[in-house]
Amino acid sequence: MTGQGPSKTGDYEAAINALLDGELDQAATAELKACAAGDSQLSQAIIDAWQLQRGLDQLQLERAPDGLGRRLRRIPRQQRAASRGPVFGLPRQALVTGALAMTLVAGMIVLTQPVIRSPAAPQQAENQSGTDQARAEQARRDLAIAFFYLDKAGLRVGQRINEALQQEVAEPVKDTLNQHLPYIGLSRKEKHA
Amino acid sequence: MRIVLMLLTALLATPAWAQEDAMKNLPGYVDFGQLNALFGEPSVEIAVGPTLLGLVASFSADEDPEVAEIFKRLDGVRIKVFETSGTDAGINASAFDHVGKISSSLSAMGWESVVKVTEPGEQVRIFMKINGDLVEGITVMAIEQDEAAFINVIGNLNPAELEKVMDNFEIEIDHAADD
Repeated sequence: MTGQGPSKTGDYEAAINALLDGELDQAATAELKACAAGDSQLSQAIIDAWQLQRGLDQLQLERAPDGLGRRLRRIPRQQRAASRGPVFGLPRQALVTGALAMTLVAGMIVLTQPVIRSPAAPQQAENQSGTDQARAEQARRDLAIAFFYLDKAGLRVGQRINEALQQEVAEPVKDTLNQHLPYIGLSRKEKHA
Repeated sequence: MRIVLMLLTALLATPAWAQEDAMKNLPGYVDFGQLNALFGEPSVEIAVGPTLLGLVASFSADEDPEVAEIFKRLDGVRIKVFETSGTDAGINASAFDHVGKISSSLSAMGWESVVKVTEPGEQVRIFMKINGDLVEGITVMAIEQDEAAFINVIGNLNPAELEKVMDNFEIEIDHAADD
């Protein structure tokens, strides 16, 4: 893998694919990293491929209820570059689909590990702050989905319990239960509906 | 170029399951077992660990200090959701058995069963791990005809505070989608 020039990005396709599939061993990963450090085209290609894969993976999220999807799309998100070149000859449609999925996964690439900070580099610190904000935004989106399902389970339970109590318990008693047992009461969304 | 290299460093050096691993030793963590073997690939899989929760808390502090405080008390949020429609017979007995086994295991570990709903083709189990006045975790297992959700909130979250969190996210449940 040595001796590749900046214009030879395509030659690394197999290695990048192996990296994204988790099949690249440690030595080869280190070699790819070293090559990418001196090759902006290659480094950008790796990031593009990674983002595309995550986007396609996250397409499953669009199966979440429509209401959730609509609300998530309203969450401010990191702006992405308006145009990108082709990535390894993948079909245009796949690229467009991946880009659309990015509305849900912007910032995913930097989610899992803090970027190394150098106290002597103010610009780097500024970048760190931006990276942290992107990570926080992504985490908020993830948390929104998680708590949506938590609330949904609470709603379902509330409905079932209320159905069970409907014939047996008078309203004042149910109101009292609602105050003290959170899952007896319906979800706030149901109550406000 | 510097940003690109920083991103690249994060990508190449990052263990994919770091968030999940960071939570495994916490008292409110629940091992749901081999869910993928039962249900296939999850449609939603999320693990937000203490580091990210701390970030969310700090960035939420100005906007909503009360909710930021709630996030600070959380150590992790994990969720796996599986679509179950299209499987052989919807929810099969082994899925319910699996939930039963996890429930027994949780009870043995001191988790309190808060809610249990059993309907034809539907099970919901909600457990809380309480230590003194402190909630260490909430676990929800909800299996319906078309969806199975396994949720584990690690840390001190009172269910009554859920409303505040939901308000912060501005999420509305689409009831038409639930029916």
